Amino acid sequence: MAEVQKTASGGSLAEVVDRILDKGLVVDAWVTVSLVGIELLAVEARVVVASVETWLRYAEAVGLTAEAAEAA
Amino acid sequence: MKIYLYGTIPKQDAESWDPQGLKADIDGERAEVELLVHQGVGFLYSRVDLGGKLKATRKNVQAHSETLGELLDLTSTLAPVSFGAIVDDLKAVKKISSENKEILEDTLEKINHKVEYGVKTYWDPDVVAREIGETDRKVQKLKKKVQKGKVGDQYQATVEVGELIDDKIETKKEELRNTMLEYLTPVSDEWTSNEIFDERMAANLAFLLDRSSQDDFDKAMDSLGKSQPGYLTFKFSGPWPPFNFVDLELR
Repeated sequence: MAEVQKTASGGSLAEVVDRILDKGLVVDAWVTVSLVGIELLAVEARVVVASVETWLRYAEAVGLTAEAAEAA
Repeated sequence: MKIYLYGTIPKQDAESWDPQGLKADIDGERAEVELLVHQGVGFLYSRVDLGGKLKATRKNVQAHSETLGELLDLTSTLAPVSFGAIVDDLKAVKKISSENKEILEDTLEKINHKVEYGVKTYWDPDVVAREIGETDRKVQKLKKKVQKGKVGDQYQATVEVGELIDDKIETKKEELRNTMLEYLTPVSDEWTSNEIFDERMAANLAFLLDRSSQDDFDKAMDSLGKSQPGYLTFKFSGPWPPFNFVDLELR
């Protein structure tokens, strides 16, 4: 049996970044305020997704579960 | 003052619009969310004074997402605008509306009363590789050959075994995606596949579904999990404004 985890929307920065930076309605042609630092944030969020998975695995290896970490 | 856009809503939502005192956070400033209705399409926005720059910081991006989350609760249909859509004035908004009237109406019709859920599936690729090594006959045969030294170039053959496993992993990803779709398309209206950007990620899908189907989607996720082996983890999130299903550029 596979584990199923549900998180509320907005709960994870990576999930948020994955959506709001390059999806949705885009009005680039009309935008008059410049956006600073967008690439950095996108990369950072992906690195975090990848790392958290690894960290959780290590934590699990020493007998901790993600549920316990969230409850704490 | 400039106009910071959140999203568009259809006529019926615009008619019953009530911000219920909602205040958005834009670069640390509290701003009221206002509505402009133009030719039957509603635009949700705030007036801001940013001095020419908006930083894509965690805080600003999270704030945009939080406001959209609250707007999703206050409306039945919301087409979200991506982060950083700041235009000069309401005249510009009206122009965007007129010049994209048809596509906006079609989009709002498509997502009428709908929300998005995201499902990412994770696995440990080493575990999957080992399983393939234990079950796939072609891999086993080649592996035996390598172990017995019955190949011309030991290194080359070892790489070949790995490559074969890599192919099988790709096939497994496809099978997994099909299984997920088997469970989740009956409780959703549309789906799309996003980039897999991590070795431990096996699938990255987004689904568009009616607000009334959310409990069914939860149940389908449960059944999906029960049907799948323990080395998989399904992570799903929602409800989101349907970002993945209104992915278009307005001119």
